[in-house]
Amino acid sequence: MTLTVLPVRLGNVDDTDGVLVYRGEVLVAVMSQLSAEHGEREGRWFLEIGFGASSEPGADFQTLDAAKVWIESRLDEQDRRVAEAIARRGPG
Amino acid sequence: MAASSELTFLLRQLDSVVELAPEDRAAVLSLPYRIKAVAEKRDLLREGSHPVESCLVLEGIVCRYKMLSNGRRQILSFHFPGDMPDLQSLYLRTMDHSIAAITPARVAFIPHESVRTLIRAQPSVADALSRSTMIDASIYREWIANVGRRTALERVAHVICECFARLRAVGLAKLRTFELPLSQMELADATGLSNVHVNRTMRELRRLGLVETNSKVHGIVDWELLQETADFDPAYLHLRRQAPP
Repeated sequence: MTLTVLPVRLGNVDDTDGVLVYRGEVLVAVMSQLSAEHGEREGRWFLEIGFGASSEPGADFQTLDAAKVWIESRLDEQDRRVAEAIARRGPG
Repeated sequence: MAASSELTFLLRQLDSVVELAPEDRAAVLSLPYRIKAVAEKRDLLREGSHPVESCLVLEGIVCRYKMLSNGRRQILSFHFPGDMPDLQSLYLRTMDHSIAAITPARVAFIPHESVRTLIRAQPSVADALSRSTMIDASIYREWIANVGRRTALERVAHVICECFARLRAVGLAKLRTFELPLSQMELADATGLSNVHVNRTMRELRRLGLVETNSKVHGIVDWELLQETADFDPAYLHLRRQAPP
């Protein structure tokens, strides 16, 4: 797992507990933890914004670890596709 | 068939959705019309107006759009040569959206009365025009899904796939290469994204080796992969002839 998280407070009306998700030094996503206002979704991790390949409007996850696994798989998949595109085109 | 008639564009479009008999084709070609040149970015029809003619696109790209009170614009659909983007004005008196030329365009205006006479006399033409209107509605359904639920990359890729498939169907896109003179702002207004997002997304599509964009000409590098990326299934276009490059 190459992703790290930094807890932050978010400026939402509700759901103010969040994390910044980094891949190395690159910010790849901002997530919030859903409050009791969301009923049975309370405690789940909601993707407020994902940059690049981790963009998926409305995604949420049972745990922060599950979110990190998903984000990383998306980023890895994107890297793999770009590498394939470069391989198809040949060097240069 | 009077091949010189500007209305052959309309025939080509109707042909892409139904098969017309020779007498139907002759009747379409005998419709009266007047030609108008429309400058780039100018309105052909404004919301709230009461048209007495229907327009047929002969050259260029035309869009339907709605302008919100705060000046934000949503492009509702693109139209290419052969399309009649205001066919509904035959039955709905007041325009509920506007139509503008994206590129310099030439359009033929055909009097509503003549279209009505034609569709009463030639049921197959009436069927063809109804079918075109239904396909229009199908395209709107797809656009709602596109703007509402797809990611930025999927949305932009989807619009490119659609334009390519539709231009191919009327013979206006070559093998894997087609001219799509849409600015980033127009792509943004069509996909509900910001200009910045569209710029970024176009670069990503190039980086993934799916399209090559040289100014406003798009080359499709990998049609299969582009369709897959866009979640594009041309079934909603209901084309008689599918157009794999």
